[in-house]
Amino acid sequence: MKRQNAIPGTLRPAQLAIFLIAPVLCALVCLCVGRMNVPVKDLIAALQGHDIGRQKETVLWSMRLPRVLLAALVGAGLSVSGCVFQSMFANPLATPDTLGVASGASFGAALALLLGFGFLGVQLTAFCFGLAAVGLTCLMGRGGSRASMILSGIMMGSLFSALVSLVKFTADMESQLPAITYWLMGSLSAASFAALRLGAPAILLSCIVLLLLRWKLNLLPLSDDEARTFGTNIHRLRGLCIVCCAAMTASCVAMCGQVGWVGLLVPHVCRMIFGSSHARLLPAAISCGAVFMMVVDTLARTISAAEIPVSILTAIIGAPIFIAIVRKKGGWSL
Amino acid sequence: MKLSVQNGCFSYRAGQPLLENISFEAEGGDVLAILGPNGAGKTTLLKCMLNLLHWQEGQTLLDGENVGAMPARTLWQKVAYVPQAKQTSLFCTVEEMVLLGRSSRIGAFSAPSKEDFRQARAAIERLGLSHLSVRRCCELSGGEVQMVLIARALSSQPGVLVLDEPESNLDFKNQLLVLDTIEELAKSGLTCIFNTHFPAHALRRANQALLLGRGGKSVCGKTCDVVTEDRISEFFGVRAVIGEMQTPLGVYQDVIPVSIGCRE
Repeated sequence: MKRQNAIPGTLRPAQLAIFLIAPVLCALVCLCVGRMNVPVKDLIAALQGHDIGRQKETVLWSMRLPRVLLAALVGAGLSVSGCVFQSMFANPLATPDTLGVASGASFGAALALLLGFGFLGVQLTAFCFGLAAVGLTCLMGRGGSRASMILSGIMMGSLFSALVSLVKFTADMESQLPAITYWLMGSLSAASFAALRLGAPAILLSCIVLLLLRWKLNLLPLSDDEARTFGTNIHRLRGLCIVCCAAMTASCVAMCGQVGWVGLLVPHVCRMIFGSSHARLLPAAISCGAVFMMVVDTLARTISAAEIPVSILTAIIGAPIFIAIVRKKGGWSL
Repeated sequence: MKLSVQNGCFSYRAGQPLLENISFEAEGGDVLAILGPNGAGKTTLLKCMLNLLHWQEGQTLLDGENVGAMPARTLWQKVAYVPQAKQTSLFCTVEEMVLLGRSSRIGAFSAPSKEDFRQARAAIERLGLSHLSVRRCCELSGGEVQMVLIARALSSQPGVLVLDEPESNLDFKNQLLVLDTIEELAKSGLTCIFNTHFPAHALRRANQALLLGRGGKSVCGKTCDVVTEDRISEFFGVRAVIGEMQTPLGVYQDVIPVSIGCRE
């Protein structure tokens, strides 16, 4: 009887509650875990405004909080943009980088590091180059089929990868090259409130727009003509989605380098569990992406004294989970 | 709802007309079958008619209003289109797919209302798909998918239903199911227009037929006047016989293609 009243494709209230609470709980736990252990009771005391000592306060609020927030944002942003790209290209292999955003942003960052820009300068350059790469891809693939769009994205991606190599080739071996290489591997260690202030708005705003559009996004996998028979301007919808996803991905890459896998893995897992209706898929992807990234980043800074690049961990942790779920659920199709 | 096409002309390449001076009219209760060989422009005609492609000359009128000048949402609240099943993306469950049909009545940033859901559920029930409603579309058989797509079209409560080869790739039973459904919908007052490769289906189900040939040739009229042995030979290049079969259940017409080539 209950089913009769639920609108198909939406989350049940219990699921929605879990998706809201899980990231918050996970963030609190991640704040406590690290090379320096902060007991949960200290965290609770600090949250209530009690004094827990300067050192612990610095670790909690200045070092870990921005990092946990960054991880949550990046995880959510990359997952959502992966979901949307998969639907838009009706292709399960699409990732946030399909249109060359991440490669463009990487080149921007590498160039900025080569030119000796400061951290925020690097972030801004990366963001701009990411958007520029997508703009060029859209210009090249404009008017063609979805396949030609993907192909131009791949071309643009390889062009910018080549340019990154060129920058590395010309970089100073002693100082610049390690910085560029480490940055490209992806790390959240540079998280700060200044970086968040610059990068978070694009991610949050795009997420909100896409969430509001969630019912229309279900038209994305359909062919052009079919989508148009629902009275939707499909080109405008696609354009808006591309802008949102590009801004999100460029922002993520600009803040913490290329974090692989999240944008492919989380959307797949969410689709297999929650289906392909975006009204369910997007909240699930935001929540799961944020939790996954917070956990992985916490492990990255906790396991060893020298921090492990997150991309390595996302693959090492993500691949087995992914394979297990694929085998259990039998995949999905668009 | 009355849909009429007046002197529609269309060509993909200049100098090679695909559709020339197409005119027809279908009202509520009518079933119009569009017949023609592969490449004659059947799907193109549907697209031009619905403003998915643009007539180079002529126009489509919906209750006297020019479709080309209508806002997309207004048009698609009145007309629903059922694409060929094999070309559709089957990514979601049956309920979600049927609910998609309500899209033209839902604003860009709003969610479906209780009423939208009620209409979707009504369409599912009307086509007898309730037992499938939570299944994923990609797990269904071809016939079931076709019925889901028709339900999706009906959920928007259209006045005109346009179907592109709805009974292709289906077995006998499902062909009958789809064609019976079209007939019933027409009886309930809808204007139904469908493309088909089977002249016999047109003979039995449609009161009007439009026959398209290569090079812009076309003929339109009452089905029994249009679907004749001579016309089939002329338009399809196939010698065919139209026979009546006396059966205990009644007299049925069938079209049997005999050989390639025109009649002398």
